[in-house]
Amino acid sequence: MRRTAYLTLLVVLLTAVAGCTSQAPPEPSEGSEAPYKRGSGVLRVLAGSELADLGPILAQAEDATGVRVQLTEIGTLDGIERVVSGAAAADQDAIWFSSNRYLELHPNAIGKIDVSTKVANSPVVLGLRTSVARQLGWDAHRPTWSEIATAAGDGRFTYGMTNPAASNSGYSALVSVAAALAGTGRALGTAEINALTPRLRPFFAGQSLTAGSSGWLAEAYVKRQGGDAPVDGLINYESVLVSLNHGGKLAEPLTIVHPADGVVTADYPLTLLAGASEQARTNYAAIADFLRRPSTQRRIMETTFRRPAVPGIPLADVLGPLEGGLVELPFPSRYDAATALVTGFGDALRRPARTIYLLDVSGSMRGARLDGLKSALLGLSGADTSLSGELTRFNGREQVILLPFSTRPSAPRRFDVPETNREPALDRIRGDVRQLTAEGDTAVYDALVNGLDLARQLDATEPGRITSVVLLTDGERTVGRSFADFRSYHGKLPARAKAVPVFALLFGEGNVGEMDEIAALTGGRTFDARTGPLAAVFKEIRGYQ
Amino acid sequence: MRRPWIFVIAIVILAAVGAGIGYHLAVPERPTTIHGVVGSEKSSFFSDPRVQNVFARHGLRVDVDPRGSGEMSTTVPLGRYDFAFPGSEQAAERIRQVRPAVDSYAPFASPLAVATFTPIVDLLATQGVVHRAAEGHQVLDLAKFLDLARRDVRWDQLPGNVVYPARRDILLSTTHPSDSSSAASYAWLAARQLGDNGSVVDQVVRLFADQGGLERSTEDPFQKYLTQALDFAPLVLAYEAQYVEAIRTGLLPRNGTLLYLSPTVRSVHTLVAFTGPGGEVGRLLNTDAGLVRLAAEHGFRTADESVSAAVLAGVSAGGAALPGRISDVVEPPASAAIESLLTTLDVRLRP
Repeated sequence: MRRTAYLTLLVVLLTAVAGCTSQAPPEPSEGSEAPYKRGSGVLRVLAGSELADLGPILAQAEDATGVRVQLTEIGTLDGIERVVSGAAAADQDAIWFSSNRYLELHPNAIGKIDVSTKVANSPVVLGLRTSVARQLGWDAHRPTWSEIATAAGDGRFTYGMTNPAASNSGYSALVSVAAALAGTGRALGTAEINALTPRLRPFFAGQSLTAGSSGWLAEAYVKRQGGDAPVDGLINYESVLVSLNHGGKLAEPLTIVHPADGVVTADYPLTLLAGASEQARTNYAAIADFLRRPSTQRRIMETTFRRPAVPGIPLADVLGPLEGGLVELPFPSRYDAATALVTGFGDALRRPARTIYLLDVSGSMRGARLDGLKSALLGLSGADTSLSGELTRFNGREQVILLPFSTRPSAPRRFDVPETNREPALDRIRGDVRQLTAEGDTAVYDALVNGLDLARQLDATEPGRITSVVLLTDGERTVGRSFADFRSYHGKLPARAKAVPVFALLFGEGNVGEMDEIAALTGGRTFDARTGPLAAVFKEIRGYQ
Repeated sequence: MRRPWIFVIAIVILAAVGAGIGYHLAVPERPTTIHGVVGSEKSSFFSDPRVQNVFARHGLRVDVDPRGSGEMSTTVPLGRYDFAFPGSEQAAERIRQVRPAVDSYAPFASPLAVATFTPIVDLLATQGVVHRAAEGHQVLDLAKFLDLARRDVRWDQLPGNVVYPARRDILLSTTHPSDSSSAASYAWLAARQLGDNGSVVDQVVRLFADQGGLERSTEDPFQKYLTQALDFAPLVLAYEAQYVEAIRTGLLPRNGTLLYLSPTVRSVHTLVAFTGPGGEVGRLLNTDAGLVRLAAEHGFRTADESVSAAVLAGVSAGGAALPGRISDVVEPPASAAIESLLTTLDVRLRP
């Protein structure tokens, strides 16, 4: 009896003591560092998808600070729009993208963001299959952007790059090559950008793979390397390229090429939104402090290959060039110039797109669904005048093909948007969209076969475009070919047609499993349109076209 | 002795109770938390545990957010702070116009300077842009430098340049003059140097616009100088204090050195107190010997010059100790003069 009493007392006391010590912050892992700051609850952060690889670091941050960082992924451009419109502040505490440069130029960004903490650095550079780099001599000699542009224009290598309108790595690459080719030594102005068009076009002629996000671009590169139409390299953050080399999924390692005349470097600013609550400010301070600790910075470098943002940490050997000389190229200093670069890219510089929309207009689409579809397509044809609308509209030189289907696929309607004076063509697209009506059954796979056949024919007669297919259906196939039929059709396609990605929307009661399989089979991806507006998803897909 | 473990348990319990009591006794009365917004170049001072300990001995916990000094009078919600601590008296004056102050304190100053690299200094010396002042320190001749910038001379056009043959204009890398008082002071120095002619504003605008995207607060470009060295930029506008702190903590990049601007301004870091507790922070920074010594150790020139002189004498740049006194210092402008320049620049830089 007495023994039990003692034991009970002991347990109670030890629990109490344990309680005290567990409230004390854990010791920082480097001796000289001060105790970690503490917060509590959640820090809600709107973030670029490329930051997902910091998950393990953020788990350690939670142990050290008591703050759980909740990342909500969003594209750079959508993120900017949410910040400047004030929508981000309604449900987020902070933002975290690879760079704030474009955001900070936006005239409406002033007063929307509070304190900012730079977390890491990573330059946007070129990674090339080692054999290709050796053929070009770039394993031994660092080329300038101008040499890279010439070789790309001559078809000596192909590469993937994200869409500058959707993703910071593509935008940084565009700024780098434009600034380097301009060669003025200072930030680009609008007038200089137009004059550069003829010299920039050859560079983008070598692009054979595009994407709306840096992470997806890297995955697509890996998938394509074993197929019939591999890509020779990709332009991406140095951290992503080095991670690929260490990821064990490459048949041939990438030689990292740091252009001799300079780069644009991402600096990953974790940025508090104006008007954040006191608790959010406390949590932000704790997380920012944790992330800039030398011990954390070293772990970020070792696990994600981003360069440290604080001094005193020697660079890992894989982060080159060893001899130094990584000149930082000037970013545009005005919003109009920054935006002119992106729209110029779409309308005049990029390899023009061939965009095939397979649109379900079966009976189940009647009403709100068809209205949503029309509104999304009208938005892309110029009705959406927001920043993201402007940067995702159909581009000059783009070939847009609408292929509605129900019981049978309709005849495709083709619209060639000219480089200048786009309005008449866009007007015809809008007229066509307004006339869509919904009735009948759902011949999904007949439509897919027709769409890919069309892609193949057009590519034969008019090559040189980046072709992709968007598939929107709100239900399961009810007539025509089955998925198995489609798979066997797809298996027999020639290499170039087989590499045409299908971007499938998850919408209505549509068959999620089959949509995923279509995306996987064609090297595309699915987009979830079940909860948000269709227009937002159509805009997101633009990054991949 | 039949059950010796009981004694063990008793000892454990006593130890545990003692530890628990000790734990609670060791925690002092909850300190008053004071919120400040400070120029980012001072955030390492406020986060220094020794500085925090001094404040704690006075029953204070000082919590600071780093922001650009110019932002403090534009976008920073001053209502949530007990004090603001910008990098200049002119920025302090603009802050007082937005929110009335109960008091202001000027505990320390730091001249505007340029963080750079020895081979860059040597290269600029061959162009006659850098020379040695009578006190021994090296200075960047602003008039000659602005002439290089006006003529759009690029680094790769300088004869014999093997250290940084980049196709980039020769410019100082700065923050945004609307957001940050170091860049605002530089804008004013440049405008003053260029004199009173019609194209002055155009030239000053180009000193910033031609650089490309500009950071909001002085510590950001300086941290990039420390981490990316010459890859980031060859000439970075900074406060002398930032250089002193970096060299004293062993974080200066290889070949890192400091040029003074000639002429330069002292940049009096001025604490604007909005509340009584905010004023207490300013008063302690002026009077507490420990804080004065720590400010000097962080590289600031303290009101009692003898304290900081001892620190500066131990730091060298370009083969000479940092000067105790800097000769070519011009009186900073009246707030109204700098304000009209900044308004013009803001309109031109943020169309």
